[in-house]
Amino acid sequence: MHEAVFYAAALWMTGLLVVSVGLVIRARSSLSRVLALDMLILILIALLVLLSDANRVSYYLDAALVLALLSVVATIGAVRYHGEGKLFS
Amino acid sequence: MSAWIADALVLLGVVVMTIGVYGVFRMPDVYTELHAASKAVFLGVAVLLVASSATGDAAIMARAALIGVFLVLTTPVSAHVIALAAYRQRERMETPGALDESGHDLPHGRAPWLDTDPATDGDAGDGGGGPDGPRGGR
Repeated sequence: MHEAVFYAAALWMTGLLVVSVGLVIRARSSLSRVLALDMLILILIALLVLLSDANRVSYYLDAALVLALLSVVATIGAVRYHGEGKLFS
Repeated sequence: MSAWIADALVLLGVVVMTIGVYGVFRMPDVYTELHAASKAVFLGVAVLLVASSATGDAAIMARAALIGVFLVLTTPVSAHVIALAAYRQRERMETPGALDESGHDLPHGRAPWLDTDPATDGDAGDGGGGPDGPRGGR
């Protein structure tokens, strides 16, 4: 019964993922788009955590860990390339 | 018993994340979207990570704690980078009645700590902004 809560939350989180893809598409500026992509990765991490809890399997959390580490690198790279035109100074 | 607490935490996390996504949908510019995207959504993820400790599995709990530590370290960094880039590129504040205290809207000249070349940004110390501008009226 408690797994049903996790599955329902994962389903709702999938809806939030679709909404945030829409937010990425209709963003007004480039920085707003980068911000929406960052938020999309956070929602994806939450989705993986919920799936891992529902199935009692820890493998999804490894992917969530890698996403958490990659998102900050991707955000900093995108913002630096957008603002200064180059990645490495 | 702990399963019910985990259910309540999952519900709380989903509600907080929904509010965060709605905030990003609703807010008019980057500066205000940062509040929703970096605080509300991150707090929702943190609540979900706490809820995953109710499973009692050691592997899941250790990985959840590690993800929480990484998110605590990296989310403010990315939010700060986005805010700094928006500030440097003089993105307009679209909020009605927004007061720009940084000096972008001043009729005579710009804020002096904005004139540093980004290429030589490392050594051009702004000295904490300096109290010479017309800011600081609190």
